[in-house]
Amino acid sequence: MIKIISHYYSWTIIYLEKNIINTMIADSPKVLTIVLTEGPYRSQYADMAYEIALSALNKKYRVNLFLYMDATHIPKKEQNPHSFPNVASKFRNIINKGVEVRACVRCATARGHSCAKKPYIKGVAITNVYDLAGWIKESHQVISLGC
Amino acid sequence: MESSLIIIDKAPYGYEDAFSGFYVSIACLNKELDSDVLLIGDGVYAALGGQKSESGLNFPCVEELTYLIFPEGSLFVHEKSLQERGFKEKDLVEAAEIINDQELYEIMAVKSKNTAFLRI
Repeated sequence: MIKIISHYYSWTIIYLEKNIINTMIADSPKVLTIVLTEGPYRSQYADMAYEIALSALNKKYRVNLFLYMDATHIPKKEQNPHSFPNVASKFRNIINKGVEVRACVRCATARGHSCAKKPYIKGVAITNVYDLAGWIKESHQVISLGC
Repeated sequence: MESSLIIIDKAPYGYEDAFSGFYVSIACLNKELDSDVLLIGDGVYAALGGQKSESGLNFPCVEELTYLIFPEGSLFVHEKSLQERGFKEKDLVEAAEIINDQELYEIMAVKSKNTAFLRI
């Protein structure tokens, strides 16, 4: 009898755990990953990524932004463009709103943005392309922007 | 996403894009995410056999990267782009799989859900 009751409780717990996990999956936000490959100012891709990220945040998406190749120039500190809006300021804004921004270490190092010198605005991590692969895997939507 | 298709339409030397595109595909495969590469337009140059970039240009050989995605990932080469540039199948690396427009459409149709299309 005790064995049957214990068996019943085990199945109940498994059933409840499954339900909780399913609810968590249903409640968890969808994930958008944006891959940027072009630098700032020469094109509007960085601005487009900013606008897309903002819209996605408003739609309750979790947003990842991966900076690849020349896009690793985008979050550089102390930019001072005279004729255009400051892209780094825009990125600071979306980082503060919860967008995760990572830059490729191979691309950043090649362009002189070494990890040791803290070249970027706060919140930008220098990481590797395997993180991008992981992000693609967990994403519901992926957008690449670049020439 | 369940897979990724990396689209490369620039020549392998003179641009970083082909090299970086293959890196993304290799990373995806390492993360156990299906990944294929599509070479189209000038991107087909990346599939040519016998590249000697390391001795002359001092640039990593993109040909060698094609072997790092094979056989887990496919290396699709757009037939029309290849013909327009005067190349034939015998000019390509072993891993290359030539596809025509209809086959390209079918690949796109099959991959239209849960595939990340990245043009790099």
